[in-house]
Amino acid sequence: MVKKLKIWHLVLALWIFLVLQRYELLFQSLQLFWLSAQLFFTDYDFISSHFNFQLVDSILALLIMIAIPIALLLPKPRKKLFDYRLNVSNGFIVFLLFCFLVPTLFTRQHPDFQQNIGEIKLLPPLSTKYQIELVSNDKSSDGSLRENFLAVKEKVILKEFDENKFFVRKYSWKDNRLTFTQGINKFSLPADSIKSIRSEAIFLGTDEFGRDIFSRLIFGARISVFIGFMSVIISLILGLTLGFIAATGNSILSAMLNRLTDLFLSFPSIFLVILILALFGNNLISVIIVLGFSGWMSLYKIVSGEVASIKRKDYFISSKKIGLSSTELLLKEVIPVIMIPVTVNLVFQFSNVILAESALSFLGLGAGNQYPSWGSMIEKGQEYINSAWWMIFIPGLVLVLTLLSIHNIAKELNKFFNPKIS
Amino acid sequence: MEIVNSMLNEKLKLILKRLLSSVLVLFLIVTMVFILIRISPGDPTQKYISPKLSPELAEQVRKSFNLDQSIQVQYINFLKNIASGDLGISYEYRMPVLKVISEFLPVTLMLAFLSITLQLFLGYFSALLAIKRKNQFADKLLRKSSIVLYVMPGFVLGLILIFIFSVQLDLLPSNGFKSYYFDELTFFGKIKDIVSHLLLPLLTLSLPGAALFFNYFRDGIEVAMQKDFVLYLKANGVSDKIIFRKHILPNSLKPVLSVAGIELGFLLSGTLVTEVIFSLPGMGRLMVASIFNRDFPLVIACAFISAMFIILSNFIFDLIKVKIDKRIWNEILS
Repeated sequence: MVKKLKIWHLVLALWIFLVLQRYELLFQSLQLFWLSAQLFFTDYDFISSHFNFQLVDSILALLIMIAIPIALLLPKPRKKLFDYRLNVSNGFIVFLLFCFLVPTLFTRQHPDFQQNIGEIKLLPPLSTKYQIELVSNDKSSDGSLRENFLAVKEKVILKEFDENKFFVRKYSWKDNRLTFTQGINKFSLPADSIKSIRSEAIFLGTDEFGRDIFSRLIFGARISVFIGFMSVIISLILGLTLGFIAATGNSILSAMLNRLTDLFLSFPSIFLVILILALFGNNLISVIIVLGFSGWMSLYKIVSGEVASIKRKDYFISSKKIGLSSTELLLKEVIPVIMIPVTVNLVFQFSNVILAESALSFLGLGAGNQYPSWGSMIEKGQEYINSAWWMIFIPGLVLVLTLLSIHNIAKELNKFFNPKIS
Repeated sequence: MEIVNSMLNEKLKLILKRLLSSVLVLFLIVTMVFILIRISPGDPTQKYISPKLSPELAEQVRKSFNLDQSIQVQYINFLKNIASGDLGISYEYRMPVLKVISEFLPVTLMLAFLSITLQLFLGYFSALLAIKRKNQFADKLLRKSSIVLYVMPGFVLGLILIFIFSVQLDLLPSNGFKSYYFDELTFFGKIKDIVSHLLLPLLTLSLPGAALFFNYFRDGIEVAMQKDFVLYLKANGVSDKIIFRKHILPNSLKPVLSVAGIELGFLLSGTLVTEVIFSLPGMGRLMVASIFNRDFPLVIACAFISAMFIILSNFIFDLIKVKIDKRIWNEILS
């Protein structure tokens, strides 16, 4: 039974779970999409002033949620992409990719939302909190397109700050007034000013500012995966171009490139990465570029070595003699051969970049404080190691699981492509 | 006699070639770091000049840092100084940089050499155990845990160790290199103090590397054991011990030694994350602090010393490799 499970089963299960959990939100996102499309043609200035990443993100999440069942139903992509056997490591990676694509559906808490520093900070996993929502005294919308848009946007987009919500651990009713404490202050509110009181579980605890660790983890996954993809693409481009130049260009150039690669390989790249980031300042772009530039050497070695050996093979020479053009040679003879080792190397590279990114964030040289990152979460937790173990071990566990899964997948790919190597 | 002479000449040539290429690499690295820090934003003199200071005095500060000349002149002066062994005076510490580095180097050296020994030791003996109990429980456990240890980031491992041994069990100190009452201790007390402070950093540094060496040793020994010459020696009645010591082990050491050279270089260039977790005064933290202080001579000196250590450790392990297998002279020393 377990052996028959395929990846697309997990994708489908996650999709159904998210739809059941967030159908209201998905409907509102659809509304938002419709309204912003209308506004785009009628009131361009207004929509461009409200256009931001979060808006695009929530609409993209909707489109992805629509695209997933289509991709699963069409037989060809399902066979090609999702028809592999499910195991723990690729299941975890599927989950991580979901976090990368639709984090706003997994968690409805902004990663920087500080839920009441006095009460909700440093709570252990699986504790409960109460969310008290006050009646908002906003005037009701007059039904115009703009007002509708703003009202829907308010519901869809995650908020960094919400003055209508209180988070408390305990509360009591006393002659029709709600009383609760915040730190040393006591508050009491009349019953008619309260819209709702809900009890919520805190899955994975909160950090020192009362931020939800679960939602920070989800958004941190997004940053890690994003930096990983981008850096790997940069090193792929660099490694491929330099490798082809070395294998096909003149001998002096290739000798120089070989020397340079040996120099970079013999030198620990983290040294240069830290030097450059500390000298020129660290932000998302510079971290991506520097990590991308620090990982091209192994790809270069593979590409230049493979291409040089293909050039001496009989099949290549004969197809050259037949009269194939150089693009045809590249597409038909070279790329299918180098694709296998390059793919395996890229997966390893991806895990290296995620590891390096988290180490850099741990040292305070990562993408910056505006993005939640696993490394910086662990770094913050270091101060609270005596009282709050979850601040270190939950991000640490997720990081180790991610690296392990990617490692396993790379090994499996290697085995799949080279069955001789056990 | 002539043959021996020509062979010696050849070896000498190879070593000279290697030395020359090492000097070239050092020169390239130092030049790269020099260019990088000069084009980076930030002015090192700003820290020492207040706005109330008269322009002449400010100029004097710049002059005392040798920053008043053009970059080309600075670079030429710098190369001349390096050639004569003078790496400059640190802006921050107001001391010759070599003296500053010599205060931070002992911790790094001690950690690096202890760690590489421990890594090889642990890797070797766990590999022996795994091969002896092949496909049994111990082997499987070692293989699985070696993968987990290998992918585990250093800071997660370090914090787990601190959490277990310092927070929960309260056995070992979690930061620093010496206790504050270090000077009052007796000789054995001092040794015990340093050992207890270095134990956790050492484990943090060594366990991932030990996992790596475990895999290399295990694969190497297993492959060498299946070779035909082992069967031949066994058929000739050579005892298992001698076969293992004289034939299997030397044949499986080559990849291990290459990796060990890289690993030692990496350890000697400063292990920043471990030093940060355990707040040890080592080269990694010194370098990052000097970068943030824009302490140019110290940055370059740290890069220079680290690069030298990396090249040296690769060289040492290559020499060991040659000692074991003399066929690879040409391949390695070129």
